[in-house]
Amino acid sequence: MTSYSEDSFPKESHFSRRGLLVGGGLASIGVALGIGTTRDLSPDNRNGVPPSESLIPFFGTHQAGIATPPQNHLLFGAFDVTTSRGDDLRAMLNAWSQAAAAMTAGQVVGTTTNTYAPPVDTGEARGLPAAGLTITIGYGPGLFTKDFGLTAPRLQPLPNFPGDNLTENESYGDIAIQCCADDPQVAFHALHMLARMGLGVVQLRYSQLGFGRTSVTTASQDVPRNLLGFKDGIENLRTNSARDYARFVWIDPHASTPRWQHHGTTMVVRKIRTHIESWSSSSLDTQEAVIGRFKDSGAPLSGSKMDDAPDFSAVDQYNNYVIPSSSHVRLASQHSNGGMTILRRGYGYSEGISPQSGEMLCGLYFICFQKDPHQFVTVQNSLSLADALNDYIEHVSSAVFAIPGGLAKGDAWGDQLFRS
Amino acid sequence: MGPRKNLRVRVVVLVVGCSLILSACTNTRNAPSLTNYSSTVDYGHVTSPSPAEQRATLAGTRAYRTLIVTSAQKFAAASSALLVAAQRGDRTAAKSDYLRAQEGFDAIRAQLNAVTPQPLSMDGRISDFPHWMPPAGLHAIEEDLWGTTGSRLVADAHALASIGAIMVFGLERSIATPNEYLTNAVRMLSWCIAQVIDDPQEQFSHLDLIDLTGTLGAVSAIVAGTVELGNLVNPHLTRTVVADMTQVQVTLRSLGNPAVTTDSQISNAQWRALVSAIDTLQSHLSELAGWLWGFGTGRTYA
Ligand code: HEM
Repeated sequence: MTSYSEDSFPKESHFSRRGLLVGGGLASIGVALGIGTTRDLSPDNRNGVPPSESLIPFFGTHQAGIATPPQNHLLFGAFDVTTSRGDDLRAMLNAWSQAAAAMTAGQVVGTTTNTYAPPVDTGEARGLPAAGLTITIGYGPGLFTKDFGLTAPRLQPLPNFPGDNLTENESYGDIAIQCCADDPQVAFHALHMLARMGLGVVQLRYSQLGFGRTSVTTASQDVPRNLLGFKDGIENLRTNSARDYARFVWIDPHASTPRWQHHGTTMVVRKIRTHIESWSSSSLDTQEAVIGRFKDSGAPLSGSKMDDAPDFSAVDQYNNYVIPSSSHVRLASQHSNGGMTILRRGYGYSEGISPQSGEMLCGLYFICFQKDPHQFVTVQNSLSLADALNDYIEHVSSAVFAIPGGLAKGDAWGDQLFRS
Repeated sequence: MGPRKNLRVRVVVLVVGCSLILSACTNTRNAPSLTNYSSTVDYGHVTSPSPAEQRATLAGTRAYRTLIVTSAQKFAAASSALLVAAQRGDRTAAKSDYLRAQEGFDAIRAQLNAVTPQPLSMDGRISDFPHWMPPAGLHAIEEDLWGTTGSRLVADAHALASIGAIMVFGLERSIATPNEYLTNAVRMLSWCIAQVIDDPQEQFSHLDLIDLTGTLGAVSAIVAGTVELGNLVNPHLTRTVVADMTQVQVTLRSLGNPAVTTDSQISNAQWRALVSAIDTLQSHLSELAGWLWGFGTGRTYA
């Protein structure tokens, strides 16, 4: 078995992908002149749509991609660790974080000097800006049962919930990589690069493309609509409430967990198929009663504006709850879950049709973050038994991961994990 | 009966009891929404229904009540017979009683669901039960008869039979407006696709056609009971719905005898033909439900 060396992978390149377009021009002249140099690919035509130029810092107290205002696209990947050598895993994770730092800064990964070998950077993001790319890593419970001497004491696999219809090969995983960007090609490049760099140490277990964010984390972002046509993310934790994040999301730096978990969190991923044909054939009245909010305005059924706080005690003239007892927002709310909540950051997905029924295979790639997975379990327990939305949805995959804290400049994922 | 069985019976009776009390004072719809969500369909606005429309409304509401009550009776009779067969040790008779009970329940599920969250303890699949709740109801019996838990059959059948009678009593007053019962019918169609065809109900017998037959038979009865009013309000749409319903029934029948045809004997192409017919019906039926909104109060004892 070949052992994995960090040196097989590039250090930071400092070449902007955009800058390289110019450099590429020079390089081709260089090639024409017979000088061996970096090869570049031609820029991609984005059909006149300017992709986001935003650049989100990779290094920081917390990892990016959690409280970060959700970008428009997701490529999520889960890996199984195939090596039994801790050193290999550590080296690979170190190389991954260096590559992630480069890609999130809109730079190419490494430099290709030998044209007789494959280029280091796979190239599909050349010419594209960072597009707000964030790359977030997480570790699944399976990693801690392997012989690496690693622990994550509070990380347990999720229980089975009523109605779960999980597909094994789209669930679980030892390492999660969440790539979010405003350009799907940039997100694709990120996962592709890491998967390629991980060969021999990890193997991709499944991946999922998501589009159309279904959440907001800041007061300034517009509330989007999900595939059911409802505004989603209205009642979500906002970054302007640091207290809420401290209470519900970030693991305390003094917590009795391994150090790599400090300032981290946990992530739950559930692929939730939506029977969109049935949903679209249900009356507006039914849809609104199922969700507990008006479709057009997003206002709770007890109010008139999106930002009105739901009044769960309001009753109509027949003494029925205005926000029905089986409505999604009632059952998911803090009100019904002993004050417990989660940070939602999911995306829509659509991927062909069911071979059995011919209906669209689409839905919500539900991702949420919370200090302790128990928070999700509490909410999902309440939803799985009684949510009226269950008539239209089906949970088809499930995974949970511990998300390490952010990296200081100069630190790396492998060192962070194995040091504690 | 062991403590687990006692809990099982108590949970079933509690859930069904609560749901029936709720359904006795039924007004299943929420107050009309105040949304300004704009729709391209221009639904009729009923201000003062004609005498013919009033008669047709009442007839539809009565037909729906009859469907629910007779289906509940069928369910009750079949679950009593199932208990007797189980006590006799006659598994063949018990299996056919189970199928009759399931078919009866399929017709009333939406009415029960409209007033209380899914009656898990009546018809929940084994995999739908949380770990802290002992499985009960129809699918516990299905597992006893086709799976490996045969020794629980008498206790499970006893639990089911003990609620059959309450069920009939509670559903006696199932008064619904045309919009309400058509909304139930639309939900029943959703259930067929999402919970039966795409994600089977009968995980041990694999006789999912039973659920489809029971549910689609009930939808067919609901459609028949709506034709008179529908013809007065929107004859073209009503004719379309009736034609869609016929197509669904023809496609369903072509799949085979529901008592013996297992899921794997049905090809993907056959399933898809049925789904497509159901989807078409569902979309037109929900439109018709919109047209019939405002007829009846749902509070007249029909
Ligand atoms: C396909 C599946 C789902 C859809 C379409 C969906 C959709 C929605 C919508 C439209 C809202 C109202 C708008 C808002 O406040 O954001 C909402 C609220 C919420 N949902 Fe979901 N949701 C789904 C699954 C879940 C799951 C699995 C969970 C957690 C276990 C969850 C937790 C929440 C929470 C906590 C709220 C806020 C409730 C409140 O406090 O008002 N949702 N969801």
